[in-house]
Order: sequence, then structure tokens, then C-alpha cells
Amino acid sequence: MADQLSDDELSAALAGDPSGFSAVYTVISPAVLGYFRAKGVDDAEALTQDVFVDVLPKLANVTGGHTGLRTFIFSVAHARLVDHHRRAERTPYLAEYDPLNDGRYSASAEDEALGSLGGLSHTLARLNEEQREVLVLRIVADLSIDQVAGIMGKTPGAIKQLQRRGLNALRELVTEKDHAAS
Amino acid sequence: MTGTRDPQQDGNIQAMLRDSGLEAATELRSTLEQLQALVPEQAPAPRTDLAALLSAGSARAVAGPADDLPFRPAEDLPDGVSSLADRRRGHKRRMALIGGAVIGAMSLGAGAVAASSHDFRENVGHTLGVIFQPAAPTRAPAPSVGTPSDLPAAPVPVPAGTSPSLTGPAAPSAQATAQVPKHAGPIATPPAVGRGGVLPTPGHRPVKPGSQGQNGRGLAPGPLPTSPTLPGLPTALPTAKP
Repeated sequence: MADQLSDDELSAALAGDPSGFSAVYTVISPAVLGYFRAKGVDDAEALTQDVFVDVLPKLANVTGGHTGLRTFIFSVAHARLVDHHRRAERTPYLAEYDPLNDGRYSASAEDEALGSLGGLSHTLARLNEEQREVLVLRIVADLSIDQVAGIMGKTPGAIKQLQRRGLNALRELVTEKDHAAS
Repeated sequence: MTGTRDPQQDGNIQAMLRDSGLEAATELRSTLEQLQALVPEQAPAPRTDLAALLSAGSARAVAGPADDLPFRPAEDLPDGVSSLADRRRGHKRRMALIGGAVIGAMSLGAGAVAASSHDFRENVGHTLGVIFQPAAPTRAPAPSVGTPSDLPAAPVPVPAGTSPSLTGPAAPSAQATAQVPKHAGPIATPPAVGRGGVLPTPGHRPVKPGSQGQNGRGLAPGPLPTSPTLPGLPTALPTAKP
């Protein structure tokens, strides 16, 4: 995510050049992976690679330059996530024994110090589904209001409203957590 | 991780907070930065099929977008990846075969039922008779109006008109003969009538559909006035057919 896709790499990717494919994968796949992680997918890497296996052969039809490419990839990622959740609802949940889930387990000092990410996903999970989607797409996927509106099938005004409400709700959750911790 | 972020991205969070009037909320800002930190620095190592796609991208994309895809992967795929295209094709063929077998079995079963059931045959004969009946009422008013005006309606009464000449389609006449003995069976006299009037019975049959089915026997004089019109029709029909 540190570097951006150059115009040459973009045109190479749209022409089907493997160097362009690699550049697209290197630049955009971290954001897709972060998007799936923020949404709590258990195997985020596999889903990320599914998205790129799906997306790369279709790049020749993409229009709109860098913005269009990013919107297209995250549209596919969004659809994949919806499919994943639907499939996960129908399959039984199988879990190995995890000592962290054991009620007799007490957290160590390191876990408490490093547990911010777990707390973050817990906090995000308490948000409304659409508000969470807007915040994750805006911040993790680094998309604009219009792009998020295109992906979620809503108007930009609705996305702005969802973002505002989501940020307010998130602030309440964060301050509530801080008060509870102190 | 957060330290290596683009300033543009931090500006994104800043702009979001400013839009919502929450610039002063430092806890919220740190939470959003944590959320942003979920994005890893490096791309995950590609899987086998994805690595194949990344390395052989040009061959596939230059060859063509969608129509070549079922065939190209079989050539392009490396060792670790197996192509499912053949199985997909076999699946389609199997579905077609199963569909054909089901349709064939259903038609065989329906044919067997039709052949074995006596009532079914009787019903079919009766139904066909009922279906062909409305052809005659359209024809009955026609002679009263006038035989020349009957020419446009000639295709409809064809089964009735051809039956007197005994060259008509086999199905209606056969059904008619199959149907008439059923109704005439309980009465003892018809065999004698049938013997004597082999030729008149074809003349009765087209008239019987013209009038009501039950009154056909009682209206035996009725057909006679209409029978002169019948010869008029076959003369008109050959002119209409070509």
C-alpha cells in the first residue's frame, strides 16, 4: 500500500501483461486482505486470492483508470464477502480446541498490552452492518464516497450519512470502552 | 506500521473526521488508525493457481477474454493445477443424456398406459370426436347462406366433407367408426342397418356431428336435405385446395 500503481503498470495490467498483473496484485492485495480482516473473515488470505483469481482475467474490460480498477476489485471483494457470509451461515461451525477460548484461561500481561486489534474487531462488530462496511471501505480500502456508493449500490448522500453515523457510534463505543477500562 | 502510512491516507481519516465534525475526538482517530493498520505492508504470497495466473497472464489475456478460457487453461496451467474444463463439459453432456433418457422413459410409459387402458382409448376417441364436432356447426349454417360463400370456410369442414368420399383422413373416420358402434352397441337393430346401408352410413356420420350427438339417430331425415349440399362441397373443395 506504500506505493501506488504507475500508469505503465496499469496499462500493462489492462493489456494482460503478467508484470502488470503482479504490480496490481502487489499494490492492491494488501488493502483487500485488510478489508477481509477488518470484516472478521477467518481465512482472509484465501479469500483475497480468490478475489484476484477472479479479477485478473477480467481486467481488460475495466475502464476508469486507477479509480475504476480499485472500485472494480473492491466490488468483487464485497460480493465475495457476501457469498462467504452466506456460505458460512449454512455450514456448521467446526473449531479445534483453542486455549484462548477456554473460560479458565487468564490473559497474560502481553496479551492485554497487545490486544488492541482484538478489541478493535470487537468494537467494529458492535456497529451497524452498513456503517461498518462504509467505514472499512473508506479507511481500509481507501475509497472515496462515490466509489463506496457505487460498490454498495447507494447514493453518495446515503454513504455520507452512514459514515457520519458510524463515526459517531464508533466514538461512543470507544469512549465507553475507555471509561470502562479506567 | 502506522508510521509508514501515506500522508494522503492520514489526510483521508482527517477529512472524514472533519466532515463529521469530530476532529477533536482523539480516541476515535486512534481507533481509525488501528483500523487502517489492518492493511499489511506486503502482499500475501500467491497460491499456486494465482501464481500461474500472475506468471502466464499475457498468454491468456492476449488470446482473448472469455471464449478461449475453457480451452486455454489446460495448456497454460502448471503441474500443480488441474483443469476442470473437461469435467465441466462432461457434466453438460451428462445432463443432456439424462434429460433425453427421462423424456424417453416418460413417453414410453405414457404410450404403454395408452395402449393398455381400454377406457383411455375410448376417451381419446370420444374427445377427438368432440374436438372435430365444432367443425360441422360452422359448416351447417354455410349451406343455408349459400354454397359459394362457403369457399373461405372450406378448410374447416374438410374432415366432414371428405368422409362421404371415403378418402378422408384415416383418423377421423376410424374414430367415428370406433365411436358409433359404442353408442349403437346396446341397440340390437343397428347391425342390420349397417349391413344394408354400408354406403349410407358414411353419409350419416358427417351429419351427426352437425346436429346434436344424441339426436343423430332421431334426425335421420335431417341429413337427407343436407346431403345434397355435400356433393356440392367436394366439387368446391378441389378448387379450393390447389
